[in-house]
Amino acid sequence: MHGLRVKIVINKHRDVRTMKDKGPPPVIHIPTTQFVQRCFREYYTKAEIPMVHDLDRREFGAIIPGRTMRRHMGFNDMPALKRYLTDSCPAHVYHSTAYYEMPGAATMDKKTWLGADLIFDLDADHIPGAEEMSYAEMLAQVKVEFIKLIEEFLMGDFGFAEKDIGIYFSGGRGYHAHVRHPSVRKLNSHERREIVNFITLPAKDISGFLSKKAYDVTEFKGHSKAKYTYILPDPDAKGWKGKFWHSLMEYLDNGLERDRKEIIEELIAHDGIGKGSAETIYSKLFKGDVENTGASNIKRSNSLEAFSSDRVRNLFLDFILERTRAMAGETDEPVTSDIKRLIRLPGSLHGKTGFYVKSLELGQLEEFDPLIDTVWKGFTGNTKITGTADHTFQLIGEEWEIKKDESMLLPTAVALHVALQKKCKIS
Amino acid sequence: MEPRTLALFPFLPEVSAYLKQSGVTLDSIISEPAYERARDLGSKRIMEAFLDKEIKENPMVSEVDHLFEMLSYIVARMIVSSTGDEMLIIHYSQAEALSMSNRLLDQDMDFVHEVASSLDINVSLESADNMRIHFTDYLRLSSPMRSKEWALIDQELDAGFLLLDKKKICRLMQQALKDKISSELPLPVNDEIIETFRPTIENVKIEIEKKKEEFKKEGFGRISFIRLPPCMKIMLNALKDGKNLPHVGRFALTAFLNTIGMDTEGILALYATSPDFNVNLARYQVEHITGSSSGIEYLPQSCHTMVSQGICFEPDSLCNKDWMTHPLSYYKIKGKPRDKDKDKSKNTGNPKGAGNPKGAGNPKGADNPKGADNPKGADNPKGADNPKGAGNPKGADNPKGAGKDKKDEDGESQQDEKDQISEKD
Repeated sequence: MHGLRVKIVINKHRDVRTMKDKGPPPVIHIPTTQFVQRCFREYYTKAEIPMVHDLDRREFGAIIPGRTMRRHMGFNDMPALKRYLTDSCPAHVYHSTAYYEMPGAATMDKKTWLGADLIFDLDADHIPGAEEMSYAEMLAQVKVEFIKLIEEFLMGDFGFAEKDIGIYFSGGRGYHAHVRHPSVRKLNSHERREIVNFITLPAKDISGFLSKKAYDVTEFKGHSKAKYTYILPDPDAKGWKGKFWHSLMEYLDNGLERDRKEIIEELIAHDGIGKGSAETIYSKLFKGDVENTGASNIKRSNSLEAFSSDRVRNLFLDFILERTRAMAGETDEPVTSDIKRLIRLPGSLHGKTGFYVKSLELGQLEEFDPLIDTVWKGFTGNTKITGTADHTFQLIGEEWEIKKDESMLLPTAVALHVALQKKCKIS
Repeated sequence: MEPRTLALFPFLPEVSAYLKQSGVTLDSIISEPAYERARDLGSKRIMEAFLDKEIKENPMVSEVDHLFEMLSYIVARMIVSSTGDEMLIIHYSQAEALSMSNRLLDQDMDFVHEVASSLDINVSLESADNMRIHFTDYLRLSSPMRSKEWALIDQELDAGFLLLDKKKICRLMQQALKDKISSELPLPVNDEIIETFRPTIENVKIEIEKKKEEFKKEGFGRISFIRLPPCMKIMLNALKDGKNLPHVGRFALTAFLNTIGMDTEGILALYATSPDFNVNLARYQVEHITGSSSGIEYLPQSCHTMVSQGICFEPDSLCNKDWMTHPLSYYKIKGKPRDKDKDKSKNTGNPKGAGNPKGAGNPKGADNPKGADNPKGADNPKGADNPKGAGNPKGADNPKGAGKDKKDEDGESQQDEKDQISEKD
């Protein structure tokens, strides 16, 4: 009986693999699989899973090792969910960001969408240069960006209170923020995308930050022609208008004290600005007697009269916009704009790391170390492993080294991580 | 609230209390001779809404006038409901909403605030000129408006709230009322109601048919690729380059080309370059959409739907107009001949009219508060933004002259805008 079951699992696993990525069929090592399952079951039996908000309105999805994702599950309460987790020991568990009338209905149409949390997902993919970093460095960098997202945007510009934002480490390479304020529930995808745009400041038409005023209108044969002054935002303007203004002023102030060569080189480095344009920008802004430079005129009049050519002015504005972008935040657009997405269940184990999706307070973020704090303390004893590859890594505050074909004893939590990373087998 | 105010804003919840107090019942409106004028006004209201896209203010001197005006709103809703026609419901709610928005501009901010609250918009008075709105309410109401000036990124968001001037708040309220009325209609109606209003219902139905015919006949003649909106052009070019289109894209393109008059063979020929082309399957799919096999002819999606499906590509200045809601409208407008007069007013070029002694290059508009160089002035969403016709249709969009007027930046969009005037439906 037992043997038969194992056989089926192996076959299924193969099917899935061949369909998906056509790689060589993985070697399933039965004692390793059993060890992992034992650990997951122990975790789901003993660990505390945080209350899921509006649990009975959420759809759940799970991946049992070797099978495809199972969706469209609904649970009435925490004990029912917990029973499912203990019985099935899924490698990955998700719940819908959406609330449904009937979350367990078999098709999306029948569920009846009632609204969805506003979700932000930030992981290592969004960190420039992440490929060069170690896992630990990457996680540290993501955390810096994530704190910025929460403090400057979600709590700053968007004004959400700390209590409206659930903060989680994803168990993998990043962080999730779940905004549960009732005001966001009904927002559609397009509206959520507007929020993402506000945070990430994508390449945009700069004219929305400026106002245009005609000062010289001529008419000729029924056609009128006007010249415009471009007025800058108020110094105390909120949102990006204000940030743009400050970034421009800072540039002008510094520029007056920097040397020409440096300024020109910096301008040329910007996409679209050639040597000629850079020279023009320099002379329009910084040349001449200190009180009468273009830069001081701009500061005095709070408008951009210094430029006579539209093209050069636009290049310069684009350059400043690029500098302003340093203040922008990061977040994964498709996750936020998808109103029917599944997101990892807080408190669940991540099937590729063995870390749990940890719920955090904003104040804990600074000190939080995912490589220590998301390893469940309930795993006891040591487990003997045999390396299947050379591997060095950090976990629970120590550096570990395993070697191919060498056996060693590891604390069970560490062994679980290495097994899930497919760097060892358990005998 | 003054009866006159209730007459001007008959959707307000206070109206029903007023009518109750006056002893008017639904039965009496339908059957009693004394209310014949209310029934006539209701018929007029619906025809105006459908044909002129705005409901004119009737002269009102007595309290009876006020009462009948209120009742005309109730009657109009019954008539719309009796036809059960989706197109009429949309046109009617748009006209009611536009009329409200224009009438509100003459009212003080306290009143605007009161009406906004009755439309469930959560705003607070910040100053004599500004109201404060939560960004989620702002997004909900502004999301159908695609012109860039509404983009959240350009708003001065401050701890979740932003400030709106009267014109902008009225524009959002217009959206809210349109949504509200179109969601309320059709109301349940009985045979008696249908019988009472039969003549009007028939008339309205004839007008609707005419309009639909017009739309079919006049809109598209020979297929012009130059007139295609950017989304369709890009999808078409992708096909030509042998790239694969997502299903929703194929659907949109097929339904669009079919509506502008391309036949199944023509459409199939376009798909033939697609990497996974299978003539039988493609024919089946195309015929399903064009209705030759299913009997149901699918209309192309609206801009809004296409945006949310991620197939709105490179929207241009015409796409970004507030009122541009459908790729077919784009195609129609691009096909309008541009006469000399229109060209003349093309160079409005001046956001405020300030600094432009000649009335911002549009002498006609300047003299003419309703924009009478346009016989259908009232149809004109521009006009909607600009009830006072402040001499300059451009400036109207931009009360502070605050240069959010990207529209000025290219001549073409201006022209398009003019072209659109008599066209937009």
